[in-house]
Amino acid sequence: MIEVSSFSKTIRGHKVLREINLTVRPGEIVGVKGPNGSGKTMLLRAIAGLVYSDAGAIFINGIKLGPGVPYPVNLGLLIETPSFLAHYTGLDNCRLLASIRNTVTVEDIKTILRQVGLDPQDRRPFHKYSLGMKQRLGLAVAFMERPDVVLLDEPTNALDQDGVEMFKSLICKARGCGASIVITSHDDKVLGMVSDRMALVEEGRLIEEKPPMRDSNICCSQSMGGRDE
Amino acid sequence: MIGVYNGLRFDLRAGKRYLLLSVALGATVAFTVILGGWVKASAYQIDWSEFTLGDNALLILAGLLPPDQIERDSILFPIGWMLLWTACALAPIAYVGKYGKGYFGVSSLLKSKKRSSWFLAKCIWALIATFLFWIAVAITAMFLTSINSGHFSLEASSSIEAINLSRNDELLDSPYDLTSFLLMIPLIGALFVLPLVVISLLKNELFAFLTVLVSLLPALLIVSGFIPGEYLMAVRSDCFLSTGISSIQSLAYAVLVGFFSTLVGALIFRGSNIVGMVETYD
Repeated sequence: MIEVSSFSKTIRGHKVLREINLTVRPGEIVGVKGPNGSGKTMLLRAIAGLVYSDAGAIFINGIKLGPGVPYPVNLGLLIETPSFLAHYTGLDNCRLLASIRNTVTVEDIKTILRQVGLDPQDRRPFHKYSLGMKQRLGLAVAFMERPDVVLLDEPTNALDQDGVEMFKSLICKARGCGASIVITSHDDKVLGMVSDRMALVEEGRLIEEKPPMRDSNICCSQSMGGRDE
Repeated sequence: MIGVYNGLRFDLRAGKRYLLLSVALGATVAFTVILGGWVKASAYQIDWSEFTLGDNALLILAGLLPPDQIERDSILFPIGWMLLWTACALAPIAYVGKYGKGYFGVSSLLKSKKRSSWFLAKCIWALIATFLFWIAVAITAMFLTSINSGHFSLEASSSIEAINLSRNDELLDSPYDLTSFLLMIPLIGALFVLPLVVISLLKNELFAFLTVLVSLLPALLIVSGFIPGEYLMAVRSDCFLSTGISSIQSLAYAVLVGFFSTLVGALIFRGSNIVGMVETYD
């Protein structure tokens, strides 16, 4: 569970987040929208433990994030344009990152690559990937270790329609496995289809929360649970 | 510790190309500078075919005598020495600067869970890269020695005029036994690189390279125990000068600089904000 409690942050004299309060329960997807520069990405960085608070706190499963505190859960993150080792294949990049914690097998990695629409056997190095392929690889890395917390910034950037459908499937599966998920996007349609709640951020403030404007959550209409083995 | 081990294992794989770069740079610079030294020796009508391993090593590691001990118009900028130390720092600075940041670096950081483990792994990786550089330098120097004289003594005598030393009271008599200097220099070099790696990580690669120049250039103009370059020149050591710096002094300085830069860097990094499009640590 993610609990953001009166979190404020100033960077280089500019107040980027102001007394943000937000709770994301396990198995819940919160969509965050707002104009450019509103603080959406900074909020994700804060939840990821990449920036620390000037006031307030962030708790992940009851543990307060801060300097010297190891990140308490398995986190999947996609922020800005994903970049990897240029001369390695997608599979090799994934394997390298997965080797740090050693919680998934090569077969697991190949499965997730197929799920995001990439070929595990593709020998092309990363620097030859299109923008859409890079985004897909970023999603693969974010989801490959079955994270408990998923933070995605503009996850459907550069994705075609198939890619968007793939993304929806991935996120619904993670939700079904109990992950706490926060997505930021300019794409109201995507946010509306997958989010349980929407939060609007402006000038660093979370100014309202509301249910998404749609008939149903696409995740509810899909069968949940279990892992794609 | 397991976090540091996993992080190091990751960096050894992810930074494989940069480790190879370190080796290639060491070999290339050593080869080029020693060969250049032989050409210069020929110009001075010195028989380079008699150069020992010590002489060949001196061609790349000599540096410059203290400025008050040489004629101003006979100062020759030690290009080979500058090239060597710049090349020594290149691969560590480049790898850490490029792949310690950005999405890939941040991903590896988050998977490491502890910032300190991740940071220390990068520092250890940089030490390994620097050791590989010096192994390449040593092997190249030994290879070239096997081609010219075949004498693997660490004493230097014949090359000194080729590196343009002037005679003075403090200069010891030849031959110059470089053993203590040469045995310590890889470790001193590795510790010299650590603060540069920390700067590359906390600031950027360009800043780190500027620091290389700031560390080396002032030593050509002044004598000061605070300037890193002072400890990296063979001709300022007690192998050459009666008042020269001992290897133990150099090692102590390097250990202090390496240790404190790593400690301070780790403490800063621990509380840094990781922000920006091209990730910077604030």
